[in-house]
This record gives sequence, C-alpha cells and structure tokens, in this order.
Amino acid sequence: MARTYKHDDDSVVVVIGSGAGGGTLANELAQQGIDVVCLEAGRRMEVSEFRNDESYMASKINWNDPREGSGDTSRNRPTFVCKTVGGTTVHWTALALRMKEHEFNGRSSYSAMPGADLIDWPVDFEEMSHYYGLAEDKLGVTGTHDIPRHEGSNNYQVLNTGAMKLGYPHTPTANLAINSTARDGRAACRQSGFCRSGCIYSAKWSTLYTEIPKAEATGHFELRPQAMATGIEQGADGRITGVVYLDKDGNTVRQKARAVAVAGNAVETARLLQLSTSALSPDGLGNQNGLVGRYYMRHVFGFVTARMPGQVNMYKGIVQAGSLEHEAHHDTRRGFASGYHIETVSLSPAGLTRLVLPHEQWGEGFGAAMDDYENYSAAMMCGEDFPEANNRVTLHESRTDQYGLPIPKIHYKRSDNSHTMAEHGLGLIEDIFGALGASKTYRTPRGSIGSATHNLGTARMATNENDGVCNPHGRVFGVPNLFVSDGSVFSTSMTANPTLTIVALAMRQAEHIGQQMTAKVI
Amino acid sequence: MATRRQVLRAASGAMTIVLGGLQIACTAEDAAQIESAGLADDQILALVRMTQLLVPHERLDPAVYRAAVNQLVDNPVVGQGIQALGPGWLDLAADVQVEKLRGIRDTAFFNTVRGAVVRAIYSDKRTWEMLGYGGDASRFGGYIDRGFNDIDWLPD
Repeated sequence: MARTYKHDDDSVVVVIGSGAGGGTLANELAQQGIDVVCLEAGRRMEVSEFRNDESYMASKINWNDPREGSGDTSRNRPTFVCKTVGGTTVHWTALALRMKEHEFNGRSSYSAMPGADLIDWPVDFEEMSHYYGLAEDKLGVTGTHDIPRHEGSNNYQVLNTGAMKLGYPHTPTANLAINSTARDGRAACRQSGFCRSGCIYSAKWSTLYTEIPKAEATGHFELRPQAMATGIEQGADGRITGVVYLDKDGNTVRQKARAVAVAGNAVETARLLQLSTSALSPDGLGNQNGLVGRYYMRHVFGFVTARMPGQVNMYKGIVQAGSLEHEAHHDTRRGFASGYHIETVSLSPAGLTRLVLPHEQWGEGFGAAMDDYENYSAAMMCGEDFPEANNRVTLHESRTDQYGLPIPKIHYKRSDNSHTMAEHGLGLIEDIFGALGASKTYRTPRGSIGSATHNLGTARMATNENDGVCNPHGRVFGVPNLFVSDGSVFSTSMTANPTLTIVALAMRQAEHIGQQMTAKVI
Repeated sequence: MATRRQVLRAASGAMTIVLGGLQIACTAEDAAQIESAGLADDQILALVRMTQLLVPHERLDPAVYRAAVNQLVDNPVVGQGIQALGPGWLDLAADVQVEKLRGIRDTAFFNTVRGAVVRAIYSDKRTWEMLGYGGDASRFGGYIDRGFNDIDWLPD
C-alpha cells in the first residue's frame, strides 16, 4: 500500500530522517491521513540482512561520512550514529528512560552555572508525562504498561549486587524498549547481545520495522531511501516551499511541500539548517540570532571495566540490561550540578581493547589483561551535560563531502562541572566493582571522551527566539511551516538516554501539526 | 643455495619467545607462508616476533599472528620503518627486544603495526575462541538458554 507522490505535489509534509524522531513523526502524521514523503540519507536494510557481526554491521549502518571534531572530542570520528533507514534506532541499546522534573526545569534547578546558558524546557511537565506514557506503550517498554521486565544478565547482576554491597537499594532490570514477551507483531528477545548491530529478532524497537511499515500501510506515506537533503527552500513570504535532495544516482530533485520536518540527528539537522539560505534567511533557516548549531550537548560518558574474581561473560545478553539511578539526582554537596546514571555495557574483545584498555595497548600486561576476557564486567556513566554557546556545529570552510556539501565541524569542550561529575561517577563504578573483589579496574582517561552517540541541543526549544531556535512545539522561529523533530530541540540534555523523549516529543508534535493543518495555519 | 624455507627453519631456534612466564612459539613454517615483495625474510621474521611481543598470548594459534602480519607486509610505512628495530634485533633476548620497542613507541612505524595488529588479532574468530568470547549467537538462537544469567559466584 506504499504509494508515491509527484515532485510538484505541494500538499505533502516532507520529513527528513527516519529514526526515532523522523520515523515516529512520519507514522503519526500518516495515521492521521496526512500525506508524508520521508527522505532518508541511508539505505533500507531488511532485518534478514542483519548479522551478529559488529564490524560488518558497522560498515553497513554507521554514519561514516567525514566530520571534523575539535576541542575535547575525537577529531576524525566525533560522533557514533547511523545512516540507514531507521536511523540510530537500528543500533541503539534501547534504554527508554524519562526525564526527571528537576532536569526539565534546568535553569530553575541549577540556577546560574558558569559558562552554561541554561533554560527551562518550555513544555509543561504534566503534558510531557502524558506523552511519555504514549511513547512507552508504542515502544513496549518493560516495566511500564504491565510489560514484564527482563531477567537480569550476569553483567546486570554484577552491577546491581556491587551497588547493593555499597548500601544502595536493589534495582530491577531497566526500562527497555526490548520485548520481554512477543508484542506488537515482534518476537521476544533471545539475549543474543548484539543490540548495537541491529536486532535480528526485531525484539528491540526500531522505526525500521515498526513505524515505517505501519506508515506505509496507511497509504499516506512514501519512503525515499538514499535521498540526501541538501537544502530547504524558503519563499518570499517566509514559508517553506520544498526540499532539494540528491537521489541515489546523484540527481538533484526538488520536492515541493506543505510543511517540512527535519530529523537528521543534531549534527545533520544543524548542518542542513545552516546550508538552507534564502533572501530572508541569509545565514540559514532559523539562524537569525546565530543560534543554530550552538548549545551542542553530548552527555557525560565514561567507561569502567573490571577484572572480576569469576566469569561474567558480559557479551551474553542485553547490552544495557541495568541502569542505576542512585546518583541521578541533583545534590551540590557532591561538587557538581545534576547527576548521572550508571548503565551496564558489554564489549567484545575488540571493543574491550578500544574502550576500556585505552592505556598502553601492548605488551605482556596487555595480553594478560585480555586473557581474562571472560571475567570482565563493564559499565558506563551517562550524566547530564550543560548547554554552552561555544560548543557548536558549524560548516567547514574548505572540506566537502561526497555530496559536495561542506562537512560538519563539531567543537566540544567538556565543562568543569562535567569533569567533576565524571570523576565522581567513574570512581563510584570502580567502587561497585571493587566491592565484589575486582582485581583490577580500567577507566577511560580524563582526556579521552571519544565519539558521541547522544547528540543534542543544536536547535533548541525555548519560549522566545533570543534563547533558542524552535518554539515549544519544535517549530522554527520565524518560519511558519518548518519543524525540527529530533534531539536537536532538547532545551537541556537531562540525564536519561534521549530516545524515549525524542519519540514522546514527535508524538506530541504530530498532534500539533495535524491541528495546525486542520486550522489551515499550515 | 638454501631455499627460503630452509633459511627460515635455520632461524627458527630463535623463534620461541620466553617473556616473563610466557613461552610463545613461532615456527619457520609459519613465517615461510608469508609472502612479501618488499621485505626480506629476516624482516618478515622480525615482524612476526614484534607482533607476538605486542600482543603476547601463549595459547593463540600462530596462524592468527601470521594473518595479522600478512596485512602489514606491503604497507610502505612498515617497509620504511622496520629498519628502526636495528641490526640484530631478532637475535636479542625477548625482554631486550621489548625495551627496544619501547624506545620507538612514538614512531609511525610502531603505531601502524600496533594498531593493525590489535585490530586484526582481536577481530579474529580464533582469538575469540581462545578468549572464550562466543560472538555470533544467531546460529543457536541467542544466549537465552546458554548462560546469559548463570553467574554463581556473587554474594547473596
């Protein structure tokens, strides 16, 4: 029932991106009978093409186009996201967590932070709670809507038991968008441990095999894979008229549109808005105050692995089965604002060498450390990062990519607050493993913050255009029919992994766009 | 005129590494299977030994080291850099060889070899088997019935 639309059909809503934001928004619009054309830069894979093979899948699904990092981030690979139908929901690890109220009111909770431009989210918390409930139902999140939680893997049991040894309360397995029993036409998880390589059982929620086919079934949706958006066109009246993209053969195509929603992940969204210049928007759409690309946030990540006294075999089972929120609250007595989660993570031998033994990676000690692979347990922290104006995505002055577009430049410096939080979090994870007799722990060094899989805030929502790029519904200030529908709109980063919030916001935005179309505002 | 295999076999006495408590064997047969247009035989042997010193595993199938070296022998950085090991490096005791490696650890040669060897060896299924990493679980339907929650040494 998938249909096709003509390029000059100006009644369609064009959604750019098919991940958590774009895929969800597109389906929610199509369910209302609104015609949608979804442009996705990546290829459409079938689940039958997935393999339990990290390096093979990384070559198929990762966003490997050139980007340049500076500051504290990796220079050549500043981000770790996907370029495929389904976007980063193909490799996400399915922690589906809600934002907390104190995070939602970041400015009020943390007051003035040096260097940070904090604002409160311009969305009512109760209203947001309603959409979180809808999003949890859509994703089939365990521990919500009477959906049973998963059995805990060895790696989860180590983390939870170690924390209890330190006096923290028991924590069940996390709220996961991974089926613990068959649901919504998808099978239950088989604990294969390859969450990051595309779920071969479709047990993990991904728009690739939920939102996209459901949208197609409505007869109001066309997916165009391998379609790289290069510009959004603005008419003299300020309204968007359409999107220009390169199709899989490199042909330039101009698709007219009634409205456009951008959901390319925070880096691509910021790049596309800056590339889309017009007489009215000479510095790019929504960039009249120079805010597009600024306030880039990426969460305070850090990893610890530990050589435990017995076998763990961390690779068996759900990668992020555990998420401890014992230090997720705001308590300045710890020396930093906001908090962090501690989440299990599992690593293959190659992953262990990259992430957890980042010190001198050779010699007798290194070989001996790797010999104990079966005994390793690993965990990461994911903490709230704060918006700073100089952490930003810009267009490169000279380097271009295979599309002829300036590559994105990503500048990110980790703040003092984030450094202090990282010290606290990594120290606590070491203590958790130590409480169970770990003979050795390894942590990511202070100077190594790696590639970001959570990229946020580059077109943030605010109450007015002096504070952000988008209004409280994710519509770009100054443009009546242009929306942003991904993590770019986050006013602050919060502590939780972002996907559930992206989905909840997309569901909320779809209702808003439907109402605006009915009212002929757009 | 000795054949290549004979030359390598003659050198094989020096090819058992004794490093700390480790003994790692590399036979001439292994090195002889490596073909390189650019490297001399003793350079190939040196590269094999360097690889073993970088990532020493007593129980690792020598073919895994060989495969890692095979990826490197035609790399121009390796061809130019291998002289940095110095004459007679191959004949030194293993701990002295390690000291020499430490002295060149900031060179492009060293880091090219180290990076490629670590990547190759820990992505090799034979290494996974030695380490106890199960990898691909699809052939038996995941680890749900194969020990994902079988930990038995945690305190109550």
